[in-house]
Amino acid sequence: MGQRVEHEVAHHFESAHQEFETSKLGMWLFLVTEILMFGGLFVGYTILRGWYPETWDVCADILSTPVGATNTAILLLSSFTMVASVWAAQTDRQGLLKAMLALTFVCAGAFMCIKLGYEWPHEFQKGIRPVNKPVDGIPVDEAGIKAYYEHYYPNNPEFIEQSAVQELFLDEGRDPQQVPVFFGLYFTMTGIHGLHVLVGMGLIGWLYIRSTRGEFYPGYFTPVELVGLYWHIVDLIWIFLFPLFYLI
Amino acid sequence: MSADHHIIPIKVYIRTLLALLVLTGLTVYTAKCWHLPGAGNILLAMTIATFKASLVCLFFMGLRYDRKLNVIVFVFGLLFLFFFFLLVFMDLLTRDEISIDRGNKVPEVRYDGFN
Repeated sequence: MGQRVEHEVAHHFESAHQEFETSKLGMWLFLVTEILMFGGLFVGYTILRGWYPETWDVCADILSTPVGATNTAILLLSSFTMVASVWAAQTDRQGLLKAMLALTFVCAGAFMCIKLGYEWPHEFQKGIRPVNKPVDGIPVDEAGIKAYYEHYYPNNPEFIEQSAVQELFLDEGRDPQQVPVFFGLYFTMTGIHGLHVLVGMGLIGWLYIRSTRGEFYPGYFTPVELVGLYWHIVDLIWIFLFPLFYLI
Repeated sequence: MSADHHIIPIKVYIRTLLALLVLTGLTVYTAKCWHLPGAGNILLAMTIATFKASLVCLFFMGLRYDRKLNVIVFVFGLLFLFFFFLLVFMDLLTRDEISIDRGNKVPEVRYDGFN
C-alpha cells in the first residue's frame, strides 16, 4: 500500500466533512465566475454571428472538423479519467488513482499538442491569424476583394478559390473584411479555453505528485474533487465551442 | 469517514462517457449531413450540446447527488447568463423595426439573418 500522509483538518473547521463541503462550495462559486466570463464571449459570438451570418457559412468550413472532433473525444475521455481518479481516491485504489491522474494529464497534453502543434500552425500558414487590420478604402468589387486577399492571405490562393468564398464574396459583393471577425473570435475563445487546459495540466501534475506521496485516501481527497470540478467545466465549455466554430 | 461521501459506481461514469461520445458523433453527423431549413441546424447542434453539458454536470460533476446549496449556486449562474442572452436578443431581434426618422414601427423592413 505504501506510506500514507494523514490530512489534518484546519483548526477553523469542525470536521473533515465540513471542511470538504466548504471547499466545494467555494469551488462552485469560482466555477460560476468562469461560466459568466465565458458567457460574455458567447454573447459576443451571438451578436457578431447575427450581424454576419454569411461569414459563418464560409468560415466554419475552413476549420477541420475531424481535428475538432478528435479533440472533443480526447477531452471527454480526460473528463472520464479525472472522475475515475476521484472514484479511485474514494475507494482507496492508490495505483488506479496515480494511473488515472497520469492519463488525464496525457489527454490534456494531447489536446494542446493537436491545437498548438498542428491546428494553429496550419491556420497561420494559410494566413489565418488572430488579428488582421481592416483595410480602409478598398472598394467592394472583384479587384478590391482580390487586392485584400493578396494582401492578407498571400500564402493561401485556395482560400479565395473555394467556390463558397467566391460565390459569397465576389459574386454577391459582400465585404471580405468580415472574415477576420470570425477568426478573431475563434482564436480568442479557443485560446482562452486552451489557457484553462494548460492551468488544468499544472493542477493535475500537482495532484499526481501529491498522490505519489500517498496524500489522498477515502478520508481526504478534497483537491482531487475540486480540480475534477474545474476540469469538467473546461470540458463543458469545449462542448459548446466545438459545434459553434467547427460545425454550424 | 467515507460514509460522509456518496460514492457513485464507476459504471455510471462509463455509461456517461459512452453517451457523450455517441452524442459527439451524432452532432457531427447531423451538422454535416442534414440540411435543415432556417436556423434548424444551429438549434439542433445547440440542443445536443446542452444535453451533453447536462450529462457532464449531473454525473461527472455529481450535481445529481450533490448538496442543494451547490446546485442553487450553479443554477443562479446559469440564470444570470440567461438574462444576459435575453437582453441581447431583445435588442438584436427588434433593432430594425424602429424607424430612425420617426421612432415608429416599420414592419416591412425586417432583418432576416441566420439563414
